[in-house]
Amino acid sequence: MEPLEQTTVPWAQGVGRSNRPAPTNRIRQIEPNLGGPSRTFDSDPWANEFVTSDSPTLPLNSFTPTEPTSFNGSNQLTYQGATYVAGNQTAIGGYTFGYDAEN
Amino acid sequence: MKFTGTAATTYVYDAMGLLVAEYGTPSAADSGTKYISIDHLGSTRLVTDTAQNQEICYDYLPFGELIATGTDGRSGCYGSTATPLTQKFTGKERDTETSLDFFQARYHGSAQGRFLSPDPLGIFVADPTNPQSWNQYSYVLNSPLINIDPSGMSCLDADGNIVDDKDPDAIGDNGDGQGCSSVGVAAGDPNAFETLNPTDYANETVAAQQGSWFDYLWATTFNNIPIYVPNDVPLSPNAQIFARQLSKQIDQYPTACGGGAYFYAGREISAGPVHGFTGAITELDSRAGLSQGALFEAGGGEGTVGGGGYAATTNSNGQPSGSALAYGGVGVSSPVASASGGAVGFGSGGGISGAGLYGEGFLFGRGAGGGAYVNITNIGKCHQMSLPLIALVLLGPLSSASPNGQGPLFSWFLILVGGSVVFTVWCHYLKRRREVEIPLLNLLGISGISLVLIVAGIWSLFR
Repeated sequence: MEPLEQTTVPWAQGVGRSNRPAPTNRIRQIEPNLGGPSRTFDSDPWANEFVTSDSPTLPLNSFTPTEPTSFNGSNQLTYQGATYVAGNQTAIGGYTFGYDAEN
Repeated sequence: MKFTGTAATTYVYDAMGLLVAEYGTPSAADSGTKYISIDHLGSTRLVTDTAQNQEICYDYLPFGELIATGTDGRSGCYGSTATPLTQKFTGKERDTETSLDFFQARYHGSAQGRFLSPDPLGIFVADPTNPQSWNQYSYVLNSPLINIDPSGMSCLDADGNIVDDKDPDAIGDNGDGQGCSSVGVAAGDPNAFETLNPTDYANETVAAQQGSWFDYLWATTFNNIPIYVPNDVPLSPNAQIFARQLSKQIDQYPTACGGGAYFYAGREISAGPVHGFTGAITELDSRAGLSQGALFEAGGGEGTVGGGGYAATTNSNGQPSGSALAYGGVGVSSPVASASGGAVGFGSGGGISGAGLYGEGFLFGRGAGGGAYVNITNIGKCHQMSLPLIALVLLGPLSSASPNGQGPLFSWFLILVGGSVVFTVWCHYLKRRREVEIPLLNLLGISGISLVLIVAGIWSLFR
């Protein structure tokens, strides 16, 4: 069993104080070749993953989140002009997306 | 089918949604047969022609971003100008305009490292104990090096086991050591992200030929090569999940796996119809080799006998082992001698149980016995108890015990009721502690059978 820790979890759909397992086994660092360029990751308590550092030779895409403030309380992106309608991302950067009735 | 202007491209998928062919009106550079080599996630890593020449290579960051040519020495086929394949990360079609990956139920942004839409199955299927499943936008519980998402709604580990919100009971450690939250990525881990050497794949090809579903099953089962049915369509996402779950269930089916023989000798103590035994046991098992240790038993009966015990042994490598056992059979006895034989079932650690036969004889309180058995794997902690229970069921009708003069049938039902209650409660307890992974349907089946036995037992009490 994973260790439990007490924390406040403002879930997107509204969940108050709760026990949750300590975050484990999420990807934290990659190094495509040993000694080569690397990239490190982190995530907030709500499983929003973001990049914390990267090698100059692995340049970040402008849409890649880099800090916890890149997400709102509904776990949606808040940067690069990202907008959501009914939960679906409808725009980010210079792109706009449309969805059919199924999604 | 995709249209670019008036040019149409048709994509052919296998039953599990993986691309097996792409055809349309090719440019001159695209003519001829191409072969695709994939990694453990199903991501396209290398495209070769019929002469085994490397046409184009791909490397990916964890969430599917392509690593650019020139990064860390990537040259040659990485910088190829050949027409790039549309199917890239985990075999999903990548939109050339937006670089989004089409995961059937929703789109995934490799640069964003997440889906653009929430899980269509909704938040109610999330596991309250696993925060990774609460985020409806996250991709494969943020463990993209070991898990895939064939449908946009599920997370499968490298074995094809569902480990996500589609099956809340399977979240976390699913027992195979490769679950979403049970695997760390360490140096040297074969599941870890790695840069494949294209030369390793230069001689690997994927055969593509027409055939029926029978051909498909035959080839994938016995020849281990993917064969597609032209113009076939993939199963629906839910059907794919069902197929994988069915395959998983088949894999979990108990299997006979080796066996062994044993011999024991020691002293028997009798007090009326009750007997106790203690002695030494030597066992030769096809898996564990030669083991020696002690055997303790207690039982009784006149004419028909039965009981239980425990064998504690150590094999030649010094590894200790213990087996609980139950036996039942027929026997004869006199004040100075006794003999019996019958069936024996046992359960031990590591998910192994077994069943076999035994025979023994005693004279003036000293004697010996022996037998043989078959090992059965994939029993699991819960199902281990089924074999001693079966032994009790076999023992019941043979029992001469007849409380209140109601006959052996009454005793049999009492044994059934007691065993069923213990078995069912034990399974529910282990399931609740997440020590075993029992599909809900199986657990309901166990409970249902037990309920029938309990009702039958109560009926026998008042008949």
